Amino acid sequence: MIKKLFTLHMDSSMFEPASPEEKKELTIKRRSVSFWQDAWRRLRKNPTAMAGLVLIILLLLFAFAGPLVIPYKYDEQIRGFENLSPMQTPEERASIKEAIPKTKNRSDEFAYDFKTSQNTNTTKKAQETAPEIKKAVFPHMLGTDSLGRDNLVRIMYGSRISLTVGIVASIVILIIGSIYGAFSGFIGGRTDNVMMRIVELLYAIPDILIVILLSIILKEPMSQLFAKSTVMSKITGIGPGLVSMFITFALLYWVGMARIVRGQVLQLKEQEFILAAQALGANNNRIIFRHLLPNCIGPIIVTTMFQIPAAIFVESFLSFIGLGISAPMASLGSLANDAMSGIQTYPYMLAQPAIMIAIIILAFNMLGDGLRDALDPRMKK
Amino acid sequence: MAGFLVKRVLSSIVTLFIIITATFFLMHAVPGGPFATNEKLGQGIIKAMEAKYGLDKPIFVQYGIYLGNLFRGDLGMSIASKEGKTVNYIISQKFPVSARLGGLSVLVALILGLFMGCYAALRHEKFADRVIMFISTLGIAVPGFIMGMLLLLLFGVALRWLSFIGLNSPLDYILPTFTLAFYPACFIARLIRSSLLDVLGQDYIRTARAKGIPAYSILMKHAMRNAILPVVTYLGPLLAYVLVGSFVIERIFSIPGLGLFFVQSITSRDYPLIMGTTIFLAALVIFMNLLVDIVYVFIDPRIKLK
Repeated sequence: MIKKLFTLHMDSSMFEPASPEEKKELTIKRRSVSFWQDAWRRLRKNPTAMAGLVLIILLLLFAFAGPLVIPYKYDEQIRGFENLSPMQTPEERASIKEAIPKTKNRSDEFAYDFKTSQNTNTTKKAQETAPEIKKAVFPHMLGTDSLGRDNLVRIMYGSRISLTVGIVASIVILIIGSIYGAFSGFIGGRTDNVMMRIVELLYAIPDILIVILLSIILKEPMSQLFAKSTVMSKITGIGPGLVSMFITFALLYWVGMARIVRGQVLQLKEQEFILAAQALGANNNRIIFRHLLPNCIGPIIVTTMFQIPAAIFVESFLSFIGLGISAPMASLGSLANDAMSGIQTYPYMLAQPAIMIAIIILAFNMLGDGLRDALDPRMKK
Repeated sequence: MAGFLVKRVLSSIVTLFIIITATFFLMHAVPGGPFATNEKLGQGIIKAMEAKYGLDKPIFVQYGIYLGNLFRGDLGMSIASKEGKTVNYIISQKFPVSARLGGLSVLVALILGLFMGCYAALRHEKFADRVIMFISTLGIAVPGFIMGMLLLLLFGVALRWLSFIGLNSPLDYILPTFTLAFYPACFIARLIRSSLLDVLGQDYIRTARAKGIPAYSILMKHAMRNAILPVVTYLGPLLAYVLVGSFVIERIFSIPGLGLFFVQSITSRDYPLIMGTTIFLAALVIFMNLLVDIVYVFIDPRIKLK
């Protein structure tokens, strides 16, 4: 038998069947860990992130289930219950007022008179509905505002608005930004160039200025739209201010997401599995939505997570300077804005929404940091 | 170099032009002119008013006139102010107040941020580092105006150490300046800490140390030059932050600056004033970004000009 050089000429006698022990050694003993299991395991080890997650769950409960427990509505004005401090009842306040000499109480009286005279129209309505002074059915745990509305319920509704804005806005950003970025990166060439020029331009514009401008402009057409179709406002229950806010987010804030997704897609599209998909005849849409975007899921989730507190910040910022949410509805920003006028006498009314915004934003940032480390360790700063 | 400059300046001009155009057409897309809300005025008066402010002409003609005026540096008349003030006059009156506060805040942010960042980097992984990192994480997460409210409640209302209305004495600057400077200071501290840690681990620092150069001059002369670069890039966004932050800070602390006036002009729907202020602030931010980009090239010769 001539042994040929350079060929793998092998004799079957060189092989022998493996023993059962050897077979056993080769089986994979540990269960394979999926991407999500791995991320969850890393996230669970991070105490700050877990604290953030628990805090967010509590906040969601507070904002969405809380109003079911408290027997007041956010626009329910109770006469005789104006400007109560936390846990105070009107009877208690009356007894305090009697005890203190009149001169000392003047600033309080003045603020009270000023506010009620300002809002005579609305209080008149309340007078009609509530002719005699009722007893408190439930303690006003955080006090009441100048129109006799329960602060706790208003803060719950405010947090609900904030959370809704944060989550919906970042979903809008997620959809627009990732699709734009994926197409730009995947198609490449001149299309990519033009699309990225647009992104650069939007990046250079001072965004808050444009957001303010847009919310001024959108407010009126939106309220007209809402006035025409009662169905729309009933279904969504969010009012024109919020919708115009979502539109501004949709127009401006997807830029960062688009950049990140494009960067990922540029890396991924050179890999073999994309070539394989193309060879099998998949069209561009299928490649982008089934192959590229699912592979960018880590950075996409992390960016979305950081968009939520950013959106909440912008919403409270706008509501604080008098844009955004309109009157009877409360947002944390507008609550703070209302409290600014009575800051000397009722400082707690400013402290409550301010602390609430701080907690919400902090919680999302904590979870976002943890998710960044868990989903994409390379992104760690 | 010249090519880079020309390209950069041109792109800034294009951005500014787009902002001006967008602002103009957005403002004019609003249904109902600025006089539509006042029902006491008769039709004739409204017509006359619109003719006076040139609002009766076709929109593209108005746009052309506005651009022409803008080119000559005229931002138009304020509609809401009763004495018929020009937007230029209002900006020249109000902006210095904001600029003083903003400039002071930038200074405080830089000093505080650099100090915190350097100290944290030098005490890496020690107690001081942990404390500074904790504070700066908190400072980045909590928005500036919330911090302002809480500071005001603590020092103004609860402790009554500082007054918080207006800017009448030098002491009045403390709260608003600190509020405005806190977030950027924390951001700069983190930037400097991470870049300084990076630089301090490099060989040339070890060489300098081996030559017996005192630690202070290693930090200031050798390490800082490289570590400061990210902070220079941050100067542009920092300025934009201070300008926008002033809207709320001035509202919280009742400071009669451009920010407060801008917010008030939103409620009174004074369109020329809103437009003028937006364009003025946008131009300022774009110009500062341009300046920072150019300065950056001079500071860091390693950067290749595209």
